[in-house]
Amino acid sequence: MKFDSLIIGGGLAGLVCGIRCAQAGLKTGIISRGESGLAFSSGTIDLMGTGQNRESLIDPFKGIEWMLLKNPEHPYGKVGLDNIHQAMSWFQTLSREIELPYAPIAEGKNQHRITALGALRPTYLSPASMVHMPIEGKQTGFHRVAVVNIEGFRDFQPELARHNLRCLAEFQGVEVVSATIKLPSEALGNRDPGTMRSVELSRQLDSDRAISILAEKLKAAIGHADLVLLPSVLSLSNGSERLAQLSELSGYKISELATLPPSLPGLRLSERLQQRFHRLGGLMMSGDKADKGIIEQGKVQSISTHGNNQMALIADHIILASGSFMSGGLVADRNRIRESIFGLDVNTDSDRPQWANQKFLNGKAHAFTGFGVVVDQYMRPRKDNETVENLYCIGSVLGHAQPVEEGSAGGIAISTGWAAAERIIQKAAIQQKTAVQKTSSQEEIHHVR
Amino acid sequence: MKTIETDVVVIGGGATGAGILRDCALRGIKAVLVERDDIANGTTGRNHGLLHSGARYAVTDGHSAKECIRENRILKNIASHCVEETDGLFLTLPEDELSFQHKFITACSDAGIETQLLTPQEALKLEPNANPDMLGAVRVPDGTLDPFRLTSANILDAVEHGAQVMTYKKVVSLIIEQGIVRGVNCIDIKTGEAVTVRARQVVNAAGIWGQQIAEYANLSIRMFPAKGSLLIMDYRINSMVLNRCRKPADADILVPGDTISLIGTTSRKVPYEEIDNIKVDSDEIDVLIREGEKLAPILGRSRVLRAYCGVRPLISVDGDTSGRNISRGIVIRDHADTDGLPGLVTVAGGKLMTYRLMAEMTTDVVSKNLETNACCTTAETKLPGASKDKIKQAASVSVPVSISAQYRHGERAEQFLKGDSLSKSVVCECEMITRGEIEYAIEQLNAHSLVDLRRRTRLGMGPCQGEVCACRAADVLQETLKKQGKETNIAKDLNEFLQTRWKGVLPVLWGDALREADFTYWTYQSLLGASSLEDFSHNRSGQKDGIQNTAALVENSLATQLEREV
Repeated sequence: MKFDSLIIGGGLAGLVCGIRCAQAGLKTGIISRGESGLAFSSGTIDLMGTGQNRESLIDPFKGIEWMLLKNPEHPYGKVGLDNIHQAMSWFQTLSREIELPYAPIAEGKNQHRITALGALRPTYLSPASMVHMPIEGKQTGFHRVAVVNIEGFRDFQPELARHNLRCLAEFQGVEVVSATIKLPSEALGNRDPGTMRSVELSRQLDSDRAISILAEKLKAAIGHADLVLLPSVLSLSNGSERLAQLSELSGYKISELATLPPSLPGLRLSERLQQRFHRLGGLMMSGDKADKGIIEQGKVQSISTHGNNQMALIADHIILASGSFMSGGLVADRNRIRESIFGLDVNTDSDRPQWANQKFLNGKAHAFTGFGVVVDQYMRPRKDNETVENLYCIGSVLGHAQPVEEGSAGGIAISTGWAAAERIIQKAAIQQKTAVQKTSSQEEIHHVR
Repeated sequence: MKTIETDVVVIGGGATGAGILRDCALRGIKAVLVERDDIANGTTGRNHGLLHSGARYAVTDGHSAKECIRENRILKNIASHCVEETDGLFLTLPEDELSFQHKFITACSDAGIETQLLTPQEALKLEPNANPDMLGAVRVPDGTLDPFRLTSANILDAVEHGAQVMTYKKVVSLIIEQGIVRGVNCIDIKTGEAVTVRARQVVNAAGIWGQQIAEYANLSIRMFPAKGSLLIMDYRINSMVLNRCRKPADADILVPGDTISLIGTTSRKVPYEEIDNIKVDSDEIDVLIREGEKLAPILGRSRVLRAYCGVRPLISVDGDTSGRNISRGIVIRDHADTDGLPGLVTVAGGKLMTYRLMAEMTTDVVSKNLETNACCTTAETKLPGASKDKIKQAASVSVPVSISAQYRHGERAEQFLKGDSLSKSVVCECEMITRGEIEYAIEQLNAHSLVDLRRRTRLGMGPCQGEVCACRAADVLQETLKKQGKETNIAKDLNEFLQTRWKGVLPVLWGDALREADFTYWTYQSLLGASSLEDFSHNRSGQKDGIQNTAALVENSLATQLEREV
């Protein structure tokens, strides 16, 4: 099978790149193993959330500028600030097109997201189903906040969240209460909520009847509240609509919190982006896995996949969006780090004891999170020190970023995915032009003859 | 300050201390146990968990071998829910002398250990993952012994017979009046509260840490700490204990246990000052994998879940300080006889395998000193959970939940399996732990934190190392402790739990272990923002200062005590 662009990896970076390529009319395919990192994400888009002193950054673009002074090899350095701006606004337009609008609290400003554990994390874009919390100023503007769970649902801990929220400076003077509501089994499809994770539970709750019962129970359980925080368990596909419905019926302002994985808000974004890619004529090869790529004469010649090893896949441009360790894009052998599909050059040859910190969580990035592929200014990697001409690396397979501590994973995925696509579109246009010129000059020759 | 009066105070919540507490309680002697951390946190919980048949010692130490086989048979009866009768194979590999086999079988027979000589084909049929290149194998009645469950069951039985247990109480000095030891002064390491236990007999069962206790009385007991490191494999790659049929050496035992397998151990001398800060070195990992592969080649291709190490409490007898006369046997000293200091008895040496015997011997001394004449019954009296009575299978409990619960708690599982559907919801899917089991461990088994829960239920010990269950269990813990009216800082607890899991993963951070760590890190830091919680647990109402003060207090009182002694 022959493509204009073939993407390995169906996470946020791969989908963004695929959609942008397909929008430009390129014949595009995505090989996707299954769920991506989006299934474990908050569903908001971080761009650059945390500064060098672990402070929450108000202006992510300024934050990127500062970070690049110290770390010019960062993926953002390859994309460039102007392109990051363009990529982010392109993504916001796309999010409106797929009817899952993402927005910042104000143009170019970060906001705080409330986590399921009751902590605050800086982020840039959030979907309409989540409350916008300003980073500046220590007042939330709320007087009474209720954290509510459905009895039996294991992957959200309202009492923990309540306890931690109350310790936040932002929530001083705010009354925070927690409640657990027991739903009748008719609202749960006669299933025991103690056996369901978020996705299954959301299927049971995705009905008008369940929503109206939930609204009644909410009102009875919490009384007055300016804000109700609910675990994200209301419908995978129609989450925002269901939330709006519940809000209207109950009279509460409601914000959802991404639970322990799987995270519905992330899955929702994944689903909508896949639908868009499909609608644009892209081909999603789901459940398949790129096994091996053959690189000869500085170019990827073909890709073989696990599910289709008889027929190699060929493309003018290959995009590697295979993720980091979690997704299998990077692999740690006992004494070295390698890129799993092509064996590309990576940015580390350090010994194992240097891969991580002694403390698991102390706000300092583990070295392994910064490991990844080395690329040039067009995001092309090297293999054995030689640039691979038609291969582009995007998202978290790239080295030199600290996505977790910086709070930058989503921004890196979107901006590198978009920038690689733009580069490919440009090259494809030149190729086409050359091809057209060639044909026309051949025709001229014919004429002359 | 709190003062408690009792007959016997036992220092140390390892298997031996727990065994002594139980033995006292069964003999009707009033007893209290103090432990500076949680039960089974020292050497007890940091070994193979091997139910020795004694075969390993048969050639080199006939006396130990006889002790082992006797205790082996006793434990299979009194602690059946802590034991798996897997049997073991002693493999002769191409690099080993086949002639050793004959010597081995003879020595086993002298010690009363039954053996069965197998051909390689027969052995492979029993244990398909054993090295197929073996020259021969001998089957012996080895098994597995869960040290956490064993200690917990001893404590539970002791408490049910009137004894008292106090964890997180560090002994900071001995009470010595007119040349007689009259009790211990402790500090609660969580709250800083001082607690005094006055007793007629003080038993030093602190294992390797017993040297420090003896120092409080100016007595010299020299310990020679030897570190042993082990690796836990991700799943159970062998169903029988595998040994090498040769003289004992490094990394030559592969033990199945619950859902995993363990390879160990190394043996390295460590300076006494470092016993609280030992860690697994990366060259030890190489040795463990290299040697482990020889027993079961599949080990080299399996995921290593974590690494850990413990300290063997080898004690020097007769005041020898050179380490030449180190004993691996049981050492019991009534300091009234050896040092003219009545009221203090020290027990040291020995093995997990012989904990009950050590407890019996110690309690005999204590009992004599107290002039009671009740006899030891621990060799016949079953521990709670070991009755082998089948509990009624409720239709609403899934079979894996029921089996896992009974595997861990024996017939006592009935207490939490009969709850409502909420209590039956599964908190940890790796180990099939229900909410009810967690509540039971907090209420009945004296668990105060997530780390304590791990020792009593296997929470977070499975392949995911607590990724999902930590939060779920934290919720149950917070709620249950709240019901008991206890204060708790759950954010700090959660971070501590993740950190103890991390400590074991760090030495083996490659392959799937790194992949899992990437996922856990992503979940807790990016999705949940857990590290910022630690920040505010620090700033929160000066709690961090409180803890620091407690630690300082302990150190200070230690220093004062030492000065006084000097």
